[in-house]
Amino acid sequence: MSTILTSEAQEQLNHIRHSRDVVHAYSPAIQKLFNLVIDYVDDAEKAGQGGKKVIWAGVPWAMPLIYSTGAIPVAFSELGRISGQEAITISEDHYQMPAETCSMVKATAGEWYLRKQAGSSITRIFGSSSACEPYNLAWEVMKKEGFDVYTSDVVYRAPGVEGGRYEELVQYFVDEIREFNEWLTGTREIDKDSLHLEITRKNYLMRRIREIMDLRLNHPFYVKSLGIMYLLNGLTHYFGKPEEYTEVLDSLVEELSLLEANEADRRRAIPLIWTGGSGQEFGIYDAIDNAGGALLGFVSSPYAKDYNEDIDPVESLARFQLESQMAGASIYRRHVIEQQIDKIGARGLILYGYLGCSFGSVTREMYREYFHNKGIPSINLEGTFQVGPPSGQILTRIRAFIEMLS
Amino acid sequence: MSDWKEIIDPELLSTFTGDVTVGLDLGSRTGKGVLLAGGKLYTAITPTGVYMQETADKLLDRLLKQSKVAREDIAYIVGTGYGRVALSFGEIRHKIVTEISCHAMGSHYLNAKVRSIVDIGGQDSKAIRVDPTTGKVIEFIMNDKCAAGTGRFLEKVAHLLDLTLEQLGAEALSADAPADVSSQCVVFAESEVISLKAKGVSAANIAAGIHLATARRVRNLVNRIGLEPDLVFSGGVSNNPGMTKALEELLGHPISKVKLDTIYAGALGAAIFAQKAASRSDSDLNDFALLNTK
Repeated sequence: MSTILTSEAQEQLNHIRHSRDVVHAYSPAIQKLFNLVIDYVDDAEKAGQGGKKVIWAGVPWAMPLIYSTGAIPVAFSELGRISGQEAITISEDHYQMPAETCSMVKATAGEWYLRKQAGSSITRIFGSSSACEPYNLAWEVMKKEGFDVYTSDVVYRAPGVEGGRYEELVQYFVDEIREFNEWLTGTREIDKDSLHLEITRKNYLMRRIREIMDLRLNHPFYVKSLGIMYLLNGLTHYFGKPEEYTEVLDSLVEELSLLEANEADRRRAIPLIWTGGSGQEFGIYDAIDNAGGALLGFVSSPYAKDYNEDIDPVESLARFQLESQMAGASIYRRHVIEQQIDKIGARGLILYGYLGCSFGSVTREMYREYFHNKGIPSINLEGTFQVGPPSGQILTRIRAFIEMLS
Repeated sequence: MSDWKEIIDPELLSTFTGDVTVGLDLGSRTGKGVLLAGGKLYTAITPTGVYMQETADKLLDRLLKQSKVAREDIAYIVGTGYGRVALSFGEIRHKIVTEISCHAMGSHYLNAKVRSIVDIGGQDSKAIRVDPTTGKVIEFIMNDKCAAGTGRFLEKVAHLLDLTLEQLGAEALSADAPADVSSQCVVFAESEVISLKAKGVSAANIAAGIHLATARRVRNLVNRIGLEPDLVFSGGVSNNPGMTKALEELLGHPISKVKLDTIYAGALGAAIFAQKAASRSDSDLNDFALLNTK
């Protein structure tokens, strides 16, 4: 099947096309990037129809492993872009999910329902349990709907967990990885050579991203907000096409390296850090760009530190996850925000989350207070996961925030 | 029409230039305009129409007629408010600034000591902290999730009590035992008002209760940013005496008296931003350069 788009999602697609063809008309690399975005789900569906193993996967750590088995992951995050109010209505009415349920969970569950009705070739879902209670509800619903759902446990690294306890967590996580591999391939034995290659690829791509982020400091508006968000989203899943994604990063490094530093843009830019999930209401990114904000720091996909290539690749996967900002306690992510503030001279933080995510709202409040006390102002934005235009009030808040910083 | 000297804080009068500028604040319910020219300040107000540009053009026409200024003599226009996005004035230089920045700047010029602002509009309410040396926003918080604590809420209640919005505020002042309205949600509060009416509670006491419920919502916003005197109350609801009383009571702090109806604070701020923009060739540049390249 090809992607069926609601009118809201069609609007988002137009937004991407406009960003590709008009806003970034000067950048072949960003044009390639948006082509990957647009084709991601459709091409994965086609691959599934052609007999390839394709799974829905919302677990960032698992991507190198999935690719090492020859499977194609389709990230949950892309469901937001192609989802509309209809998906939410299905979750609330057909599945009787409370209206207060996280908009991400409702949009994904509703979209899976719609896609199943339309004969989607992707019928397996890999998620993580424990991390999010509403998603645990969604997994159960999807099992009843006939999907083959597998959930792995997350490993939570509390502050101060070191030594023997830390090693136990590593071992526990290694076991989780093997169990996932069994669901995916039928065996607990992992193809270590293949996984090693994927880890090497990931390290290469993270280095490329680091180069791009450094080069952007001289050209803060070359890649606009929507473009940089998708560039970083792609670091998780490569849009199902690792080689093509690698080409995007290589060619963008080349484009940026050939440019003279743009002093006017450097003076005009208000450096900002984005924390939290990717906003699906693309008007928010436009509002940031139009007000002169430059998203130069991100705290979502880890890219600051490499995987260890000198140890067993399964263990390397586990250790990378446990040592990254995604390890559990929000303090790890806070450290990364602090590093980014120093690196880019950030003037403010955009704390973004999805409506109905109580976990995220607590974390955002903690960050707000902590960084406010350090003199870094922030704005707390709550968006919906399914697409649609952002409210006028949200756009006013963004613009006022950037005016305040200018 | 008034002399600047009678309205603007004397400390800041010297910052005004000779440029003729206009600020247009297109709120969700009313459009407000301020024109600054030749030492005089002109104001205009009109209900917001369906098309924001028409409302803006109407305000501009009225200001030009009052002031007898020629359109071509306008150096700069700043648009603000809910309807600012689509504004266009052809050959006249113009830009848009958010109402949050404009209310802060306008209030600053009405009282140079102002540090806190409560802005209650038709669609949302805001608490803003202002830098008293520049009039710039230091921090703000906006209630944009529902109609509680907004002019729309009061309008709804006024309708239920068969009062106009103006009568609602005045009615609240004569209350002897304000009703306890517990709900902060417009939908539930509506049921509560109907229930209070059925019990025979007077309109004055219901009105006072409603104003206190709205003020509680606003107090929560103010508490988030911290109240520092002086405090100015601006926005469309600011000339409602019932709300002023409720806010002063709950915040425990008097609202500063200024010499202009603060429904015009946003438009005045916009006109002042227009003065600043008219005299700057690089008005779009920030005084900031990125720190590091590595």
